[in-house]
Amino acid sequence: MSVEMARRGLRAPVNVTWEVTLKCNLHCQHCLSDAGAADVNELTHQECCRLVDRFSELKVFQVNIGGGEPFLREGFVDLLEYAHRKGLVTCVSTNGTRVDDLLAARLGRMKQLYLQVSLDGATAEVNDAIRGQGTYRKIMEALGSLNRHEVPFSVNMVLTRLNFHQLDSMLLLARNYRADLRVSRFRPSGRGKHSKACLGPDKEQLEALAIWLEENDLVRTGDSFFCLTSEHRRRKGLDMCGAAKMTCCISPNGDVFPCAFLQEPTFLAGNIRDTDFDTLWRMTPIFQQLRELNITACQTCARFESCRGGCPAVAYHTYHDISQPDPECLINLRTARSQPSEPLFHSISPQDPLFPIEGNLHV
Amino acid sequence: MTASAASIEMDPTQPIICDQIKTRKRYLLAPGTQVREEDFGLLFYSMSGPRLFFLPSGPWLSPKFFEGQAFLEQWLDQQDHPEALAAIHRTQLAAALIQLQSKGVIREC
Repeated sequence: MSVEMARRGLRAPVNVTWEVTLKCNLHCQHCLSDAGAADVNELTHQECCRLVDRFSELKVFQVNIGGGEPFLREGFVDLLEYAHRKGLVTCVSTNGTRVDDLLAARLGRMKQLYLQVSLDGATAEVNDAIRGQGTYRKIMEALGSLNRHEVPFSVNMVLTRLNFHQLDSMLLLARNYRADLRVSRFRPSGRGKHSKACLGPDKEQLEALAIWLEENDLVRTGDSFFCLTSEHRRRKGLDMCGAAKMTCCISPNGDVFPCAFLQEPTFLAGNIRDTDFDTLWRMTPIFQQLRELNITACQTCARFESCRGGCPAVAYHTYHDISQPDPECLINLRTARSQPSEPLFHSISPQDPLFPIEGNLHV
Repeated sequence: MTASAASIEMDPTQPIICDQIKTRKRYLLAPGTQVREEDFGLLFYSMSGPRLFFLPSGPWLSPKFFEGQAFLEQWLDQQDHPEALAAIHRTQLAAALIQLQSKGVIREC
């Protein structure tokens, strides 16, 4: 029922993903934003504060802030405090390299803050191969500072074929720092377009991940792996793509997109410098299109209620068509493996011989 | 970070336990909770989780109700609405609020 209410579109987003800068001191191989140098046209601090005011007026509940590295943006911590004073909850994704005791002490006083620290391996060898030489040590130092100042945080890893075998070690590492582990999905956007062939998890790994998640109930995935979610884990998320229905993304220069992984000209709703955010949210044709999107090929699938066709961004980056099924859903993974000459996407019904898949997942 | 979601059911076919039908209750939002109006009724956000709760209360409740100033029955009687809310729907609404209370989204005052 909640899914149906959300599908019709809400008056404002529940949360907004906001990339506050493209500036980054790392060059991670899978970066969805292809971050590096700051965009010369980034919103000014005053414009950012006005946007926060607008979020507050529209009763957006939460702002998920990323980049680039947000803590490299001048005045960013002031902006965070301003957002909290306006009643917004924030969730900041950081690479951790700027987090020291001074910053951790300040973050520890923020009660409306969730913090996510990116780490892509339980050892320097694996993490640094993805995030850059020496980053593992810096991230460990950041986690230590956050612990000393009792800042709650989660460790966020993007699942790749390099770190898949370290899932258990990552969970242990996070627990040692009194943190949750969050596993995010590798998406072929930004630098991920070019690194997918060498970093993207293979089909067997994704299937094994579904089982691992089943066995590790406290690991968070958000909605990014809902196409792999078992019935048992459904309560953890909405089990549908929230783009344009519950959430949207704002780029450093104020461009508005349905989600962070669809920052392509085709999906540009407009810019907040030209059009009020509320108008962009409610009136933009591309947002309406996503709200009405039906992955028809999936509608007879027994798992449709659990996934609703999966992630349109992955479909877009794979087929240039958001109406195609997610190629990495459990059913399509099984189909591709058992029938490699068949199309990657496939509908399935309870009568289909492939259906007992869920039995293997102890659902 | 993504929220989990739940809808608060207001199904007239569901039996309602007798002690749930009291409408002489006032409520406040629990700490860390926010609420806003939507076309279907009210949408609650709880920072604990975070979690979302969809309450299909139509036009009958507003966020202002959760300032704890009025009992539910007083609030419903004061609404400037062409039709009074039927007793059965008042009861369903009261039961839905008790569900929200049990989930830690609102608290009685």
